[in-house]
Amino acid sequence: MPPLNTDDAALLAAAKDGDLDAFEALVRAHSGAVYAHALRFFGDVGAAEDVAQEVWIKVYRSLSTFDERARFSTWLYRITRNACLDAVRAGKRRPVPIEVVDTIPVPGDLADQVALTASVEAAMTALQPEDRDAFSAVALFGLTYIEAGEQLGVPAGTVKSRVFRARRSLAHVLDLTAGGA
Amino acid sequence: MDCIQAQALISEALDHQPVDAALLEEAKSHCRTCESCTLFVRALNVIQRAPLPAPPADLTDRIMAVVRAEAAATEQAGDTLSEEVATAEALAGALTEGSAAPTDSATATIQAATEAARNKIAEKSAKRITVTPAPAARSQNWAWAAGVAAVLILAVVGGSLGLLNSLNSKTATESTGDVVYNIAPESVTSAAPESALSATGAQGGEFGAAAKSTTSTVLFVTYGGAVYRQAGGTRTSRGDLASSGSVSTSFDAQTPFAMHDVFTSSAEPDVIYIANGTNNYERFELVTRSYQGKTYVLNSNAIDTFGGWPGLPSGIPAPAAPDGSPVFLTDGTDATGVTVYRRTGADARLGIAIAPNTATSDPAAGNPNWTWWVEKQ
Repeated sequence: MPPLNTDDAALLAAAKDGDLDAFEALVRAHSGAVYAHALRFFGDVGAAEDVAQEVWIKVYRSLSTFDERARFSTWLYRITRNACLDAVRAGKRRPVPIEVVDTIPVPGDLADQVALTASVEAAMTALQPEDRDAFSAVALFGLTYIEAGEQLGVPAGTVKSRVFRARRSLAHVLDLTAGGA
Repeated sequence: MDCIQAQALISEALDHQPVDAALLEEAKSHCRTCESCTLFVRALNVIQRAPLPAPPADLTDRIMAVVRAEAAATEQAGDTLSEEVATAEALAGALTEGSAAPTDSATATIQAATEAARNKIAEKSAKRITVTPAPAARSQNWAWAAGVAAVLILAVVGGSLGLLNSLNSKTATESTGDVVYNIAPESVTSAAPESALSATGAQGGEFGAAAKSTTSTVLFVTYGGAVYRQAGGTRTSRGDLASSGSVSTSFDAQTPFAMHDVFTSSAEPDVIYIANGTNNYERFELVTRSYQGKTYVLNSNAIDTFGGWPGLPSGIPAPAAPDGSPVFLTDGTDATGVTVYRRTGADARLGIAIAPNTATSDPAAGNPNWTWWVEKQ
């Protein structure tokens, strides 16, 4: 997901002025990352939908407090992560358990995007939560290591290690012998 | 360069981190000749190419339906208040006309105040048509409008009690002065930092000077939108606590706010532990209350001053009057006799509100702000 661009900034400014069409454009541009983060966190489509909806309502309600010196993606990641954690704390949902995964076959035809997504998402369940969190911040929301570190309360070097560990785990689990890749 | 170094460099480069170009080239060269690194790079290619899981096609529509409904309800609440002000204007006119012997100056003063209010409302309405203000700005507008309405209504009541006749020109002018003071542009548009609002309790729409100077003796933090209060039971070691995130707070008035790691224990689902910077973990309990057989969790904006009280979340405007209007309506009373409110136009399933200054035995515990509670699932 690309980081905040000038389009985001313009949409944010308009949304803060009450332009709901601009807000909808923001939702459409970034809902994939929010939904994917929630889905990987809970492993459940219904929970991911609920949290995604909750996240965007929180974003809407908090627009007036958004500091435009910060990046929208950083703010959105924080709200998304907190919404997931909050749902668990409130007893509404349980996070996805870590799966012991041997290997996940990768489809021979990489053009089969549905199968490809299914393989990668299955592999995600093998990640440690802190690695998945860091990977999500950087790969889904486009945060820098420093930004992700600030959000996760760890040094940037730790984020780098976690993201790398996540990639190695994914590479280890994904079975590429079926060809294609 | 070994495999780990090569893969780490490629991972960093993928994340748009600055890496040494020569080292990166060396890493790529290594990966072309190393079987395990080749597999690693191919796996990264697969991960990059895989589309994200697609949300349901109608998810955005559902989100926007909620957002649009909320925006409309907020707008409607503002319009309702404008109507109330208009009613106050009409009453003021009718009663002063019907009073036994209003002084010319008093009548003129009220008419002037009414005219000023009408003009100001028109000005605000015009702005609302062209640019919908952000929620915080709206609440300030409503507070201003309510101030005007309150002064007008007081003038009306005063007139109906025969007090109006006793007002001399000077006193009436002072009343007008109050109106002007309340609607001074700086009071409408001033952008007080939220920290200041939290510290004074102004955010929650409290009424009375005493409340404004109150600070909490209990340390509250907002974590994931929910409010936790320090509850004793410091841990001196992490033990089985699991890292959960971070929160901005301070444990004393002298230390600036900073991020502190948050930990949870599966044995205590409604508790978080916050690392206090001295290798201890302070215990905080989720603040809840019961109503109609359900448990509600206190929600708040970030509390970013030491001794700050929880206030209303940013999406909930502060009421303009002690009875909660126009934002809240009475929903009922809880088991302890505390009045429970709901959002105007909504039901309690979406959340409940509690008025400021409840008894010390209440979960809201003397909070000078209105508080907002969301049902715990």
